[in-house]
Amino acid sequence: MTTPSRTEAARLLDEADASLLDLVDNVLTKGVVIDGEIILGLAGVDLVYLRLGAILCAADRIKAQR
Amino acid sequence: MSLYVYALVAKGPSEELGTGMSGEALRVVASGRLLAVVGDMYAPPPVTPTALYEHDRTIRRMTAITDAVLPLRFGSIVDGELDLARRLEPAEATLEAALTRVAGREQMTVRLYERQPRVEEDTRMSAPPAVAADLGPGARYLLERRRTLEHDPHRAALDAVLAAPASFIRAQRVESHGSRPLIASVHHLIERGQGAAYAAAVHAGTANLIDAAVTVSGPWPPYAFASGELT
Repeated sequence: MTTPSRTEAARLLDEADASLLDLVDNVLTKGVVIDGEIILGLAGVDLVYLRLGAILCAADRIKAQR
Repeated sequence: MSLYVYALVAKGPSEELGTGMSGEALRVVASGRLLAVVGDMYAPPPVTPTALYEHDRTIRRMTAITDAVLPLRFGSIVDGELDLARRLEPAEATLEAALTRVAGREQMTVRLYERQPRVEEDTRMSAPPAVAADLGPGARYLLERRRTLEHDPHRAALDAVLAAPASFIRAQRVESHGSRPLIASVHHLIERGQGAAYAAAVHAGTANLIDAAVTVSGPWPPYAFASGELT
């Protein structure tokens, strides 16, 4: 797995016009849940609530799965 | 083959459903009094920005062609229609009520951010004044709670966020965050088509905030108002 640079992560966020934070928050942490069937590739959705540096880390993790 | 469940809808859309996040054809499955929009899928897609955007795009498409949409969380997969029916049946009344609540409405989200660290207030909040030892446990709790609220430097900002768009709000979810700079996320359910006016009201009502900043996003499908668990 290649770890993208911090610059790449920043670019990813910059280009995410709808705000990756909002998208992750809505799509991954909201909605009706089917118990036991949710597959989350993110290591902790709480990442989206950390300060900007940590948000960039969250973007790193998302990007790395591409 | 499993079923990826995107959303519950109140009525079957009259327009073509189109395709889902993997290009699969979407269809409506009836289960009791509920309708679910599903697509055939072998496994949940990996979590990537593209997959998240595609999931959201699909939900938005449903929102555009039907009045009431209750999104399921990303990655929701069941073994087939019988499995889906088994899971929906116990929650049918609750989900019907949720569909009624979101009908004709959309979600706006306000994020409240700290502009700069407030060292003094943070220190005060983490070390509140000592409480009188002669009080009982209940009285001590209430006193500590009151002092914490009184010392919250962002309370006025949150009050402004809640008050500014009051006339638009049909339902509300507030999340407080412990990690700065994000202070709180506020999700409001409003009538469809009112997003721009709502955003203008929030910006006008919070323009004078000094210690906090707000961002407004939306309209979104009513993700934050689709709580519930299908066991």
